[in-house]
Amino acid sequence: MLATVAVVVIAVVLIATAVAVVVSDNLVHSVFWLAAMLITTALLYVMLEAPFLAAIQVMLYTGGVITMMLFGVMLTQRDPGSRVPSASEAPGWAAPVALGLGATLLVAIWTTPELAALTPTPSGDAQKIGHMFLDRYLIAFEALSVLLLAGMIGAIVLARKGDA
Amino acid sequence: MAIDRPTRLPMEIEEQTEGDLGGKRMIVNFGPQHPATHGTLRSIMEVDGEVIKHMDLEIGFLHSGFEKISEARTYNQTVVVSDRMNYLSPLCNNIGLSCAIEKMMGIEVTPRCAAIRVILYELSRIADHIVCVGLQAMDLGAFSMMLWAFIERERLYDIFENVTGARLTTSYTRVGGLMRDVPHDFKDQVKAFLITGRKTVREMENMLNTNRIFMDRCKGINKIGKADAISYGLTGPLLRAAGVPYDLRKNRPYLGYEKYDFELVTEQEGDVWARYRVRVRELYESMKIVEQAIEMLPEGPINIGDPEVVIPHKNEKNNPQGGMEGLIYHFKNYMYGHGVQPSPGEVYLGTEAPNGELGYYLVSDGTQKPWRWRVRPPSFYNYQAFPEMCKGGTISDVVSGLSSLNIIAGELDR
Amino acid sequence: MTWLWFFAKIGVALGIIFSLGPVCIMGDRKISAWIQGRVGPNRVGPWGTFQPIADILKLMMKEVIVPDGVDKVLFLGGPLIVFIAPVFGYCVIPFGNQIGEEKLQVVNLDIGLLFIMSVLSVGVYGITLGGWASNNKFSLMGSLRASAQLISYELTFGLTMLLVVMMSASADPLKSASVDLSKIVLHQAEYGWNIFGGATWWGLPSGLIGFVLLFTCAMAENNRLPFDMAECEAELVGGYHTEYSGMGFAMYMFSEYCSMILSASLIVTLFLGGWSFPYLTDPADHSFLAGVISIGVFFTKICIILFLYIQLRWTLPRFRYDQVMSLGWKTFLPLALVNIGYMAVIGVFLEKP
Repeated sequence: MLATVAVVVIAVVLIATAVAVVVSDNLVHSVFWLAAMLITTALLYVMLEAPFLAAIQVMLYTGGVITMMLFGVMLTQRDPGSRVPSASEAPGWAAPVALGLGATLLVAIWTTPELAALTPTPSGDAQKIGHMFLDRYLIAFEALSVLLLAGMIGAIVLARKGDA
Repeated sequence: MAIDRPTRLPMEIEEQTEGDLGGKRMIVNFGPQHPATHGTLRSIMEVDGEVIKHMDLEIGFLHSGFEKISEARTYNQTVVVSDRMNYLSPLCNNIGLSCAIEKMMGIEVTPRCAAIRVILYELSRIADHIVCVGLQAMDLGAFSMMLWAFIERERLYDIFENVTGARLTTSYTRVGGLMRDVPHDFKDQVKAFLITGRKTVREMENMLNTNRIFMDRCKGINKIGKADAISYGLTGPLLRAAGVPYDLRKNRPYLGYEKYDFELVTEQEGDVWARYRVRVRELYESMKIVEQAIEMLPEGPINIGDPEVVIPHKNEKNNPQGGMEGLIYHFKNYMYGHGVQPSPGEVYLGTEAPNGELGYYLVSDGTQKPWRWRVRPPSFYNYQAFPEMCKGGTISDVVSGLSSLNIIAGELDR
Repeated sequence: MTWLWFFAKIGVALGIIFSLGPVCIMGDRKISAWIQGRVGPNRVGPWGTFQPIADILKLMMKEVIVPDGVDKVLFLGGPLIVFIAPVFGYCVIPFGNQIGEEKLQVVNLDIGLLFIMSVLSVGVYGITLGGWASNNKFSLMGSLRASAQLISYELTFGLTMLLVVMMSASADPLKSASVDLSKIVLHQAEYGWNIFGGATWWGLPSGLIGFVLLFTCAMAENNRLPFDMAECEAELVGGYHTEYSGMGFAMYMFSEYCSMILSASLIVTLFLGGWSFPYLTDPADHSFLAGVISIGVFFTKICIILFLYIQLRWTLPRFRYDQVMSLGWKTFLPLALVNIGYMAVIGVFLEKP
């Protein structure tokens, strides 16, 4: 019972922060709302008894990705404190696309029978993830690392352009 | 050279763009109230990221009109004004000024006076250099070094207080001599200081010389070459750090500096590290001079015997000008149209102050007040080369560079 | 009874962090005074011991000035967020041996190390927020520097933690690595401290290098002096807290000491055997007295590390920003990687069953 209430609360906060990301008119505020949203997602993982995933979520997304985004936003601003408008250019198009995507996901979740059968496993999720990465999804894993490497090299090339 | 660049106002710089990304450079304002300036200086930096592309200096925040004030003072009264210029080593200002006036009047001071002046001059140099090295370390984050240096500086100020009666506003010299003789325990005090001072300098060297962080922050930073250093008119430790063996105590000796055995310290690199090394080595050389001077401190009068210049003691026995005669000179020396009156003409005397050549240019019209009283402050010439040194460095380098210049705002703006 | 234990443990953990904080401030001032030939605070209370309380009272009574043009919510929220890392992080630090059935650890998470890593990564937001919201160029530069530095050093930080995990797995009969902090401490109590290589002689160089790396990275993560790029009073005036006054400033200052304590606890836990000490503590002894002794041992170890921190702060000059970066990326990261590689390769070849 308590767990259900907690999940509902977390879900509400999650949606609220996600909406706040989209509607806030200051880009820096948006990024901070995004950070809050990702932390709430991590809480959801905790509720689903996947603490490893939660920790990784906070560490990588909140600690790494969002800080990088903040960097980008702060450095591209002309002077600190000025407001960067971030309103969408075509809200009329965005709403149906978002709703369609949401509907697709919902239908997919509801119509997949395997998902309903899954129950949270109490522990050992890290080991399981590790085994899966190096076993069943090895090719995908390696492909992803090659992609990341390419991205990294690309970033270095772009950054060094000015010096050459 | 900096001269052919048109001066731009800070507002105009804001509009300038650069690079293919079209990013604007940021303006960072250093001072006049900034912890690293140690005084009221202002440098307006144009930075790209943290790299300095352009720098404008603004001075005059501490302008006190010393030169103009001095024109309304008699020669001996200007000594008081000179105290306030370099507030790290006021005795150097006093002594330099008196030497310039004496040169104008053709006065040769007594051997005891000259020796005392040399001792005090070198002690002031030690006070100045040790504080500068301490502040340099403090600006780079080693706060403790600064307080170690200040402990020694306080010991020196105790000596100055004992000798002159004041710690900072010493006003010790007079034309043709000194305000008074040194107290009887002067020698012991100086000798005691030489022991603790050497120990502290050695301790500071132990802390900084092989400190990798300190070396990284100093080596190759704020570099200035030999030719640039000369053409900017740098003097003192800055010039010697760039490899130019120029020291007025050696090149144009005054006060009998040629009698003392000391080394002309030079380093080759011209960066912050070289300046630090020059200052520390000069500390030892100054202590050597003080040691020699205190050993052969001659007995005898401290003032020249000319009653027209130095007032004789009033009722002293065995004093040829004492008694009634002395009293008459007391009146004459302070009355308008009498006293210290150099014959019309001009003089320039440069002395090797801790920061460089401290020159006094005096023009006399024959009255008891100078017609023109002009100072060549070392800080002014040293500071003008600062943008050239900083270009291409980062904001952090400005801090270490500024503390290595040892700009004294009181002297810079006068 | 369980609830009582729970609150008692929270009390001890928070007590360590919030009572050691002012002690740390006091120690900082006194030790710096000794180093610099001064007396230090000596007016308030015996030997000036009440000085931190007086300071905090003073700061509480001061007005919180909110400058013009700041982002008010973020400006006032920043000082609150910086407390997340030290307080939450302390939940998983085992500060003593087991008493009866109760482990002296607020929560015993399986993912202890990862939890600390993730909490630390959130901690930077306080600085970034405060600096950005202040509407001041110096603050912005300070906060950008702080977050860049934190990201750079987090890598080495994480790799060194990985080393510890590998070490604690090496002598485990089941060969299963664990990120559970209490297991790491128990392993050290059983086989030897990780700084001396844990259970094996060939781990000694690895352990020593790992300790130095973790110690330095923790210093960098806390923005302590050789790495205090974010404050750098000589360049950036006050860095990210230039515009803060009163309690806002007090919280930033206090949180710095709190995260120092957390880092010290982490170093002690990971490399210096946590609450264990040879001949003084026995992991199998679960009596009350043994528990108290183990807390005392832990406390003493933290204080030694904190003393080292303070002493280094008052004797070393500060790095330049790019030097900090190149040190982190070009020296520490490769060193940590080589260290881990050594541990892994030797571990595989020497310890093959």
